[in-house]
Amino acid sequence: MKNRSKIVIKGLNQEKILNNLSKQVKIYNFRKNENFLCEFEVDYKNRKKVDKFLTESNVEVLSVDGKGVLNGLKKIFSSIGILFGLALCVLIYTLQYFFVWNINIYGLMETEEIKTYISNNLPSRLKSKINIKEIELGVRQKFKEVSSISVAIIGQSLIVNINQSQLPEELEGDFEVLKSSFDGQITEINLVQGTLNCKVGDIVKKGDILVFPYMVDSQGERRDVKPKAEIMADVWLSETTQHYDYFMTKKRTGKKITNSQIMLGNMVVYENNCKLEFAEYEVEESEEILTKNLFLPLRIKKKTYFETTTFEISQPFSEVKDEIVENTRQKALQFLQKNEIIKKENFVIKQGYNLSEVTYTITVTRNIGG
Amino acid sequence: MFNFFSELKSKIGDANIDLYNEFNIINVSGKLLYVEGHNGLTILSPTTIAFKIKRGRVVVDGENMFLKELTDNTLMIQGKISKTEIF
Repeated sequence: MKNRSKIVIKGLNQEKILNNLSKQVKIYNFRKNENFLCEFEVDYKNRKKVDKFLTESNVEVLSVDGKGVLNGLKKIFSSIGILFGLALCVLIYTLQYFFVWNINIYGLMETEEIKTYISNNLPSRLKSKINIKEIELGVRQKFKEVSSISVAIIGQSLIVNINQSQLPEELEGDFEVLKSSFDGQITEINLVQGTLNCKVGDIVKKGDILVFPYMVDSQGERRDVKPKAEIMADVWLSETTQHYDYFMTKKRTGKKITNSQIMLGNMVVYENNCKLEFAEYEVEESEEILTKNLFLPLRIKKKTYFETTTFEISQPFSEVKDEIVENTRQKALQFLQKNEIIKKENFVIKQGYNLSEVTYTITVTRNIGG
Repeated sequence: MFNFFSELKSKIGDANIDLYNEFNIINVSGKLLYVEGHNGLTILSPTTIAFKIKRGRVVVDGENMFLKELTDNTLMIQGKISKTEIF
Protein backbone atom coordinates (compact mmCIF):
# COMPACT_ATOMS: atom_id res chain seq x y z
CA MET A 1 0.00 0.00 0.00
CA LYS A 2 1.33 3.41 -0.96
CA ASN A 3 2.08 5.89 1.80
CA ARG A 4 -0.35 8.68 1.18
CA SER A 5 -2.48 11.15 3.14
CA LYS A 6 -6.12 11.55 2.27
CA ILE A 7 -7.30 15.13 2.75
CA VAL A 8 -10.91 16.36 2.70
CA ILE A 9 -11.41 20.10 2.12
CA LYS A 10 -14.38 22.38 1.82
CA GLY A 11 -14.49 25.50 -0.31
CA LEU A 12 -15.41 27.20 -3.57
CA ASN A 13 -13.30 27.18 -6.70
CA GLN A 14 -11.65 23.89 -5.90
CA GLU A 15 -10.09 23.63 -9.38
CA LYS A 16 -8.05 26.78 -8.72
CA ILE A 17 -6.87 25.54 -5.34
CA LEU A 18 -5.90 22.18 -6.77
CA ASN A 19 -4.19 23.67 -9.82
CA ASN A 20 -2.05 25.82 -7.55
CA LEU A 21 -1.37 22.90 -5.24
CA SER A 22 -0.52 20.60 -8.14
CA LYS A 23 2.31 22.97 -9.11
CA GLN A 24 4.01 22.02 -5.84
CA VAL A 25 2.99 18.40 -5.26
CA LYS A 26 1.41 15.58 -7.19
CA ILE A 27 -2.27 15.06 -6.41
CA TYR A 28 -3.87 11.63 -6.57
CA ASN A 29 -7.42 10.29 -6.63
CA PHE A 30 -9.24 13.56 -6.62
CA ARG A 31 -12.98 13.30 -6.00
CA LYS A 32 -15.57 16.02 -5.86
CA ASN A 33 -18.39 15.50 -3.40
CA GLU A 34 -21.56 17.40 -2.74
CA ASN A 35 -21.76 20.61 -0.68
CA PHE A 36 -18.42 21.98 -1.92
CA LEU A 37 -16.53 19.11 -0.43
CA CYS A 38 -13.70 17.38 -2.20
CA GLU A 39 -11.11 14.79 -1.25
CA PHE A 40 -7.70 13.97 -2.66
CA GLU A 41 -4.52 12.17 -1.78
CA VAL A 42 -0.93 13.39 -1.61
CA ASP A 43 2.32 11.58 -0.95
CA TYR A 44 3.13 11.21 2.73
CA LYS A 45 6.46 13.01 2.24
CA ASN A 46 4.64 16.10 0.88
CA ARG A 47 2.22 16.34 3.74
CA LYS A 48 3.86 19.34 5.44
CA LYS A 49 4.06 21.23 2.17
CA VAL A 50 0.34 20.62 1.56
CA ASP A 51 -0.59 21.65 5.10
CA LYS A 52 1.32 24.88 4.66
CA PHE A 53 -0.28 25.59 1.28
CA LEU A 54 -3.81 24.91 2.53
CA THR A 55 -3.25 27.13 5.59
CA GLU A 56 -1.89 29.96 3.46
CA SER A 57 -4.79 29.61 1.00
CA ASN A 58 -7.34 29.75 3.88
CA VAL A 59 -8.88 26.46 2.82
CA GLU A 60 -11.00 24.67 5.36
CA VAL A 61 -9.51 21.24 5.94
CA LEU A 62 -12.17 18.87 7.26
CA SER A 63 -10.10 15.76 7.79
CA VAL A 64 -6.69 14.28 7.17
CA ASP A 65 -6.33 10.54 7.16
CA GLY A 66 -3.25 8.42 6.59
CA LYS A 67 -2.83 5.35 4.38
CA GLY A 68 0.08 2.94 4.14
CA VAL A 69 2.77 1.53 6.39
CA LEU A 70 4.41 4.82 7.31
CA ASN A 71 1.12 6.31 8.45
CA GLY A 72 0.38 3.18 10.45
CA LEU A 73 3.76 3.38 12.14
CA LYS A 74 3.27 7.07 12.84
CA LYS A 75 -0.07 6.33 14.50
CA ILE A 76 1.53 3.65 16.63
CA PHE A 77 4.46 5.77 17.67
CA SER A 78 2.30 8.78 18.42
CA SER A 79 0.06 6.81 20.79
CA ILE A 80 1.31 7.09 24.37
CA GLY A 81 -0.61 4.00 25.46
CA ILE A 82 0.92 1.78 22.78
CA LEU A 83 4.37 3.24 23.37
CA PHE A 84 4.06 2.63 27.08
CA GLY A 85 2.86 -0.94 26.42
CA LEU A 86 5.77 -1.59 24.06
CA ALA A 87 8.27 -0.18 26.52
CA LEU A 88 6.77 -2.31 29.29
CA CYS A 89 6.96 -5.43 27.10
CA VAL A 90 10.58 -4.75 26.22
CA LEU A 91 11.38 -4.14 29.89
CA ILE A 92 9.64 -7.34 31.04
CA TYR A 93 11.26 -9.36 28.25
CA THR A 94 14.70 -7.98 29.07
CA LEU A 95 14.28 -8.61 32.79
CA GLN A 96 12.93 -12.13 32.44
CA TYR A 97 15.77 -13.01 30.07
CA PHE A 98 18.14 -13.05 33.04
CA PHE A 99 16.10 -15.64 34.96
CA VAL A 100 15.49 -19.37 34.69
CA TRP A 101 11.78 -20.16 34.72
CA ASN A 102 11.59 -23.84 33.79
CA ILE A 103 13.45 -26.95 34.78
CA ASN A 104 13.14 -29.66 32.12
CA ILE A 105 14.51 -33.08 32.91
CA TYR A 106 15.08 -35.69 30.22
CA GLY A 107 15.94 -39.29 31.01
CA LEU A 108 14.36 -42.70 31.37
CA MET A 109 13.72 -42.59 35.09
CA GLU A 110 11.10 -40.88 37.22
CA THR A 111 12.18 -37.25 37.09
CA GLU A 112 9.81 -35.43 39.46
CA GLU A 113 11.95 -36.10 42.53
CA ILE A 114 15.09 -34.77 40.85
CA LYS A 115 13.19 -31.74 39.59
CA THR A 116 12.03 -30.92 43.13
CA TYR A 117 15.56 -31.42 44.46
CA ILE A 118 17.10 -29.06 41.86
CA SER A 119 14.34 -26.52 42.34
CA ASN A 120 14.82 -26.47 46.11
CA ASN A 121 18.61 -26.26 45.86
CA LEU A 122 18.92 -23.46 43.34
CA PRO A 123 20.58 -20.50 45.08
CA SER A 124 18.56 -18.11 42.93
CA ARG A 125 16.58 -18.07 39.71
CA LEU A 126 19.07 -15.54 38.34
CA LYS A 127 21.09 -17.18 35.58
CA SER A 128 24.37 -15.62 36.68
CA LYS A 129 24.06 -17.15 40.18
CA ILE A 130 23.38 -20.70 39.01
CA ASN A 131 26.40 -22.99 39.13
CA ILE A 132 25.84 -25.84 36.69
CA LYS A 133 28.73 -27.96 38.03
CA GLU A 134 27.30 -27.80 41.56
CA ILE A 135 23.90 -29.00 40.34
CA GLU A 136 25.47 -31.91 38.46
CA LEU A 137 27.54 -32.92 41.49
CA GLY A 138 24.61 -32.55 43.89
CA VAL A 139 22.27 -34.72 41.79
CA ARG A 140 24.93 -37.43 41.32
CA GLN A 141 25.59 -37.58 45.07
CA LYS A 142 21.94 -37.52 46.07
CA PHE A 143 20.59 -40.00 43.52
CA LYS A 144 22.63 -43.19 43.25
CA GLU A 145 20.66 -44.39 40.24
CA VAL A 146 22.00 -41.49 38.17
CA SER A 147 25.04 -42.65 36.21
CA SER A 148 25.67 -39.45 34.28
CA ILE A 149 24.13 -36.00 34.14
CA SER A 150 24.58 -32.87 32.07
CA VAL A 151 22.99 -29.53 32.86
CA ALA A 152 22.68 -26.53 30.55
CA ILE A 153 20.82 -23.24 30.56
CA ILE A 154 19.01 -22.70 27.26
CA GLY A 155 16.85 -19.62 27.01
CA GLN A 156 14.82 -19.45 30.21
CA SER A 157 15.03 -23.19 30.84
CA LEU A 158 17.42 -25.32 32.83
CA ILE A 159 17.84 -28.47 30.77
CA VAL A 160 18.93 -31.56 32.67
CA ASN A 161 19.85 -34.74 30.81
CA ILE A 162 20.10 -37.85 32.91
CA ASN A 163 21.28 -41.38 32.20
CA GLN A 164 20.02 -44.07 34.50
CA SER A 165 22.52 -46.58 35.81
CA GLN A 166 21.75 -50.27 35.21
CA LEU A 167 21.77 -52.25 38.46
CA PRO A 168 22.29 -56.02 38.45
CA GLU A 169 19.05 -57.96 38.90
CA GLU A 170 20.03 -59.11 42.38
CA LEU A 171 20.30 -55.51 43.52
CA GLU A 172 17.09 -54.36 42.00
CA GLY A 173 15.26 -55.40 45.17
CA ASP A 174 11.56 -56.22 45.06
CA PHE A 175 10.60 -59.05 42.73
CA GLU A 176 7.11 -59.98 41.69
CA VAL A 177 5.77 -63.54 41.90
CA LEU A 178 5.31 -65.40 38.61
CA LYS A 179 1.60 -65.74 37.90
CA SER A 180 -0.31 -67.84 35.42
CA SER A 181 -1.36 -65.91 32.37
CA PHE A 182 -4.08 -68.41 31.28
CA ASP A 183 -6.48 -71.02 32.70
CA GLY A 184 -5.18 -74.54 32.06
CA GLN A 185 -3.78 -77.86 33.27
CA ILE A 186 0.00 -78.01 33.80
CA THR A 187 1.75 -80.65 31.68
CA GLU A 188 5.47 -79.79 32.05
CA ILE A 189 7.63 -77.61 34.32
CA ASN A 190 11.20 -76.35 33.66
CA LEU A 191 12.20 -74.18 36.65
CA VAL A 192 15.15 -71.81 36.12
CA GLN A 193 15.09 -69.89 39.42
CA GLY A 194 12.60 -69.28 42.23
CA THR A 195 10.42 -71.63 44.30
CA LEU A 196 7.61 -73.57 42.65
CA ASN A 197 4.03 -73.28 43.88
CA CYS A 198 2.54 -75.84 41.46
CA LYS A 199 3.15 -79.33 40.06
CA VAL A 200 2.41 -81.25 36.86
CA GLY A 201 -1.29 -82.12 36.63
CA ASP A 202 -2.49 -79.09 38.63
CA ILE A 203 -5.36 -77.10 37.17
CA VAL A 204 -4.62 -73.39 37.51
CA LYS A 205 -6.61 -70.26 36.82
CA LYS A 206 -5.35 -67.04 35.30
CA GLY A 207 -3.58 -65.06 38.06
CA ASP A 208 -2.69 -68.05 40.26
CA ILE A 209 0.86 -67.98 41.67
CA LEU A 210 3.16 -70.40 39.86
CA VAL A 211 6.64 -69.48 41.19
CA PHE A 212 7.67 -67.47 44.29
CA PRO A 213 10.51 -64.91 43.94
CA TYR A 214 13.00 -66.50 46.32
CA MET A 215 15.33 -69.48 46.71
CA VAL A 216 16.59 -71.27 49.78
CA ASP A 217 20.31 -71.95 49.47
CA SER A 218 22.32 -74.85 50.88
CA GLN A 219 22.76 -73.01 54.22
CA GLY A 220 18.99 -72.75 54.54
CA GLU A 221 19.01 -68.99 53.92
CA ARG A 222 16.32 -67.41 51.83
CA ARG A 223 17.59 -65.30 48.91
CA ASP A 224 15.42 -63.05 46.69
CA VAL A 225 15.60 -63.81 42.97
CA LYS A 226 13.62 -62.94 39.91
CA PRO A 227 11.37 -65.98 39.27
CA LYS A 228 11.98 -67.66 35.91
CA ALA A 229 10.33 -70.85 34.65
CA GLU A 230 8.88 -72.45 31.54
CA ILE A 231 5.54 -73.92 32.60
CA MET A 232 3.65 -75.66 29.83
CA ALA A 233 -0.06 -76.33 30.24
CA ASP A 234 -3.06 -77.47 28.26
CA VAL A 235 -5.05 -74.31 27.73
CA TRP A 236 -8.73 -74.45 26.79
CA LEU A 237 -10.00 -71.86 24.37
CA SER A 238 -13.81 -71.85 24.50
CA GLU A 239 -16.57 -69.99 22.74
CA THR A 240 -20.33 -70.32 23.27
CA THR A 241 -23.25 -69.54 20.94
CA GLN A 242 -26.90 -69.49 21.93
CA HIS A 243 -29.74 -70.27 19.53
CA TYR A 244 -33.46 -69.62 20.07
CA ASP A 245 -35.82 -71.78 17.99
CA TYR A 246 -38.42 -69.04 18.08
CA PHE A 247 -37.96 -65.33 18.72
CA MET A 248 -39.26 -61.88 17.85
CA THR A 249 -37.14 -59.28 16.11
CA LYS A 250 -37.57 -55.63 15.18
CA LYS A 251 -36.67 -54.14 11.80
CA ARG A 252 -36.73 -50.54 10.56
CA THR A 253 -39.11 -49.94 7.63
CA GLY A 254 -37.11 -46.98 6.24
CA LYS A 255 -39.67 -44.33 7.17
CA LYS A 256 -38.53 -41.66 9.61
CA ILE A 257 -39.58 -38.34 11.10
CA THR A 258 -37.09 -35.78 12.39
CA ASN A 259 -38.02 -33.09 14.87
CA SER A 260 -35.42 -30.40 15.48
CA GLN A 261 -34.84 -27.53 17.83
CA ILE A 262 -32.36 -24.67 17.35
CA MET A 263 -31.10 -23.50 20.72
CA LEU A 264 -29.30 -20.32 21.71
CA GLY A 265 -27.69 -21.40 24.96
CA ASN A 266 -30.61 -23.10 26.72
CA MET A 267 -33.28 -21.02 24.97
CA VAL A 268 -35.25 -22.54 22.06
CA VAL A 269 -35.20 -20.09 19.12
CA TYR A 270 -36.78 -22.36 16.50
CA GLU A 271 -38.70 -25.60 16.79
CA ASN A 272 -39.95 -28.03 14.17
CA ASN A 273 -42.45 -30.59 15.48
CA CYS A 274 -43.99 -33.09 13.06
CA LYS A 275 -46.90 -35.28 14.11
CA LEU A 276 -45.79 -38.80 14.99
CA GLU A 277 -47.98 -41.40 13.30
CA PHE A 278 -45.88 -44.54 13.72
CA ALA A 279 -47.35 -47.37 15.77
CA GLU A 280 -43.89 -48.78 16.55
CA TYR A 281 -40.71 -46.78 16.45
CA GLU A 282 -37.15 -46.33 17.69
CA VAL A 283 -35.73 -42.94 18.71
CA GLU A 284 -32.25 -41.53 18.09
CA GLU A 285 -31.18 -38.17 19.50
CA SER A 286 -28.26 -36.01 18.40
CA GLU A 287 -26.91 -32.57 19.15
CA GLU A 288 -24.64 -30.46 16.97
CA ILE A 289 -22.99 -27.08 17.49
CA LEU A 290 -23.80 -24.72 14.62
CA THR A 291 -21.35 -21.90 15.37
CA LYS A 292 -17.75 -22.10 16.40
CA ASN A 293 -17.70 -18.88 18.43
CA LEU A 294 -18.89 -18.06 21.92
CA PHE A 295 -20.80 -14.94 20.89
CA LEU A 296 -23.69 -16.90 19.40
CA PRO A 297 -23.68 -20.39 20.95
CA LEU A 298 -26.22 -21.85 18.51
CA ARG A 299 -26.77 -25.59 18.49
CA ILE A 300 -29.28 -27.90 16.89
CA LYS A 301 -30.97 -30.77 18.70
CA LYS A 302 -32.42 -33.49 16.50
CA LYS A 303 -34.79 -36.27 17.52
CA THR A 304 -35.32 -38.88 14.80
CA TYR A 305 -38.14 -41.44 14.99
CA PHE A 306 -37.59 -44.57 12.86
CA GLU A 307 -40.67 -46.67 12.10
CA THR A 308 -40.21 -50.34 12.97
CA THR A 309 -42.10 -53.58 12.46
CA THR A 310 -41.84 -56.72 14.54
CA PHE A 311 -41.26 -60.13 12.92
CA GLU A 312 -41.55 -63.61 14.29
CA ILE A 313 -38.66 -65.85 13.38
CA SER A 314 -38.95 -69.59 13.77
CA GLN A 315 -35.92 -71.75 13.02
CA PRO A 316 -35.48 -75.18 14.67
CA PHE A 317 -31.98 -75.88 16.00
CA SER A 318 -31.73 -79.17 14.09
CA GLU A 319 -31.87 -77.24 10.77
CA VAL A 320 -28.96 -74.95 11.58
CA LYS A 321 -26.93 -77.11 13.95
CA ASP A 322 -23.92 -77.64 11.66
CA GLU A 323 -23.77 -73.98 10.73
CA ILE A 324 -23.88 -72.86 14.39
CA VAL A 325 -21.20 -75.36 15.42
CA GLU A 326 -18.91 -74.19 12.62
CA ASN A 327 -19.50 -70.52 13.48
CA THR A 328 -18.70 -71.19 17.13
CA ARG A 329 -15.52 -73.03 16.10
CA GLN A 330 -14.41 -70.09 13.98
CA LYS A 331 -14.96 -67.77 16.92
CA ALA A 332 -12.89 -70.06 19.19
CA LEU A 333 -10.09 -70.23 16.57
CA GLN A 334 -9.63 -66.48 16.88
CA PHE A 335 -8.07 -67.04 20.33
CA LEU A 336 -5.20 -69.06 18.81
CA GLN A 337 -1.77 -67.46 18.82
CA LYS A 338 0.52 -67.40 15.80
CA ASN A 339 1.81 -70.87 14.73
CA GLU A 340 0.06 -72.58 17.66
CA ILE A 341 -0.76 -76.27 17.21
CA ILE A 342 -4.23 -77.53 18.10
CA LYS A 343 -3.97 -80.51 20.44
CA LYS A 344 -7.66 -81.38 20.66
CA GLU A 345 -11.02 -79.88 19.82
CA ASN A 346 -14.56 -80.79 20.87
CA PHE A 347 -17.99 -79.27 21.36
CA VAL A 348 -20.91 -79.68 23.76
CA ILE A 349 -24.55 -78.94 22.99
CA LYS A 350 -26.96 -78.11 25.83
CA GLN A 351 -30.62 -78.01 24.92
CA GLY A 352 -33.54 -76.60 26.86
CA TYR A 353 -37.01 -75.31 26.04
CA ASN A 354 -36.65 -73.06 22.93
CA LEU A 355 -32.91 -72.52 23.67
CA SER A 356 -29.82 -74.45 22.49
CA GLU A 357 -26.29 -73.61 23.55
CA VAL A 358 -23.16 -74.74 21.69
CA THR A 359 -19.82 -74.57 23.51
CA TYR A 360 -16.76 -75.27 21.34
CA THR A 361 -13.44 -75.92 23.06
CA ILE A 362 -9.99 -76.02 21.47
CA THR A 363 -7.10 -77.38 23.53
CA VAL A 364 -3.57 -76.09 22.90
CA THR A 365 -0.28 -76.37 24.78
CA ARG A 366 0.98 -72.99 25.89
CA ASN A 367 3.67 -71.57 28.20
CA ILE A 368 1.63 -70.00 31.00
CA GLY A 369 4.64 -68.89 33.02
CA GLY A 370 5.34 -65.83 30.80
CA MET B 1 -27.19 25.47 -30.26
CA PHE B 2 -24.52 23.41 -32.02
CA ASN B 3 -23.43 20.34 -30.10
CA PHE B 4 -20.30 18.65 -31.36
CA PHE B 5 -21.16 15.17 -30.09
CA SER B 6 -24.81 15.33 -31.30
CA GLU B 7 -23.54 16.29 -34.72
CA LEU B 8 -21.05 13.42 -34.66
CA LYS B 9 -23.74 10.92 -33.62
CA SER B 10 -26.01 12.03 -36.44
CA LYS B 11 -23.21 11.48 -38.95
CA ILE B 12 -22.25 8.02 -37.67
CA GLY B 13 -25.81 6.86 -37.23
CA ASP B 14 -27.64 4.78 -34.61
CA ALA B 15 -26.05 1.49 -35.75
CA ASN B 16 -22.76 2.50 -34.09
CA ILE B 17 -24.26 3.99 -30.94
CA ASP B 18 -21.94 1.89 -28.73
CA LEU B 19 -19.03 4.01 -29.95
CA TYR B 20 -19.91 7.03 -27.89
CA ASN B 21 -21.56 5.73 -24.72
CA GLU B 22 -18.34 5.31 -22.72
CA PHE B 23 -16.15 8.41 -22.93
CA ASN B 24 -15.32 11.20 -25.38
CA ILE B 25 -12.13 13.23 -25.58
CA ILE B 26 -11.52 16.29 -27.74
CA ASN B 27 -8.09 17.80 -28.11
CA VAL B 28 -8.25 21.40 -29.30
CA SER B 29 -5.00 22.48 -30.91
CA GLY B 30 -2.96 20.63 -28.32
CA LYS B 31 -3.84 23.33 -25.82
CA LEU B 32 -7.21 22.27 -24.49
CA LEU B 33 -8.51 18.82 -23.73
CA TYR B 34 -12.19 18.27 -23.10
CA VAL B 35 -13.28 14.96 -21.57
CA GLU B 36 -16.78 13.57 -21.19
CA GLY B 37 -17.47 10.42 -19.17
CA HIS B 38 -14.53 10.31 -16.74
CA ASN B 39 -14.83 8.36 -13.50
CA GLY B 40 -12.52 10.39 -11.29
CA LEU B 41 -9.19 12.15 -11.37
CA THR B 42 -6.28 9.97 -10.26
CA ILE B 43 -3.23 12.21 -10.79
CA LEU B 44 -2.98 15.99 -10.99
CA SER B 45 0.31 17.75 -11.66
CA PRO B 46 1.50 20.37 -14.22
CA THR B 47 3.14 17.62 -16.31
CA THR B 48 0.78 14.66 -15.82
CA ILE B 49 -2.95 14.46 -15.42
CA ALA B 50 -4.63 11.06 -15.25
CA PHE B 51 -8.23 10.01 -14.86
CA LYS B 52 -10.29 6.84 -14.80
CA ILE B 53 -12.73 5.89 -17.51
CA LYS B 54 -15.10 2.93 -17.78
CA ARG B 55 -12.79 -0.09 -18.45
CA GLY B 56 -9.48 1.81 -18.21
CA ARG B 57 -7.42 4.88 -17.47
CA VAL B 58 -6.25 7.86 -19.50
CA VAL B 59 -2.92 9.61 -18.91
CA VAL B 60 -2.31 13.05 -20.36
CA ASP B 61 1.29 14.30 -20.55
CA GLY B 62 2.25 17.88 -21.18
CA GLU B 63 3.59 21.08 -19.67
CA ASN B 64 2.00 23.76 -17.50
CA MET B 65 -1.28 21.90 -17.48
CA PHE B 66 -4.09 22.80 -15.11
CA LEU B 67 -7.73 21.99 -14.59
CA LYS B 68 -9.96 24.51 -16.20
CA GLU B 69 -13.17 22.81 -15.19
CA LEU B 70 -14.18 19.71 -13.31
CA THR B 71 -17.63 18.23 -12.83
CA ASP B 72 -18.90 14.76 -11.96
CA ASN B 73 -18.35 13.42 -15.46
CA THR B 74 -16.61 16.15 -17.48
CA LEU B 75 -13.26 17.85 -17.19
CA MET B 76 -11.28 20.38 -19.14
CA ILE B 77 -7.50 20.55 -19.13
CA GLN B 78 -5.63 23.57 -20.37
CA GLY B 79 -1.90 23.77 -21.10
CA LYS B 80 0.57 22.39 -23.60
CA ILE B 81 -0.70 18.86 -24.25
CA SER B 82 1.88 16.60 -25.82
CA LYS B 83 0.44 13.09 -25.37
CA THR B 84 -2.85 11.41 -24.48
CA GLU B 85 -2.66 7.69 -23.79
CA ILE B 86 -5.39 5.21 -22.97
CA PHE B 87 -4.53 2.18 -20.85
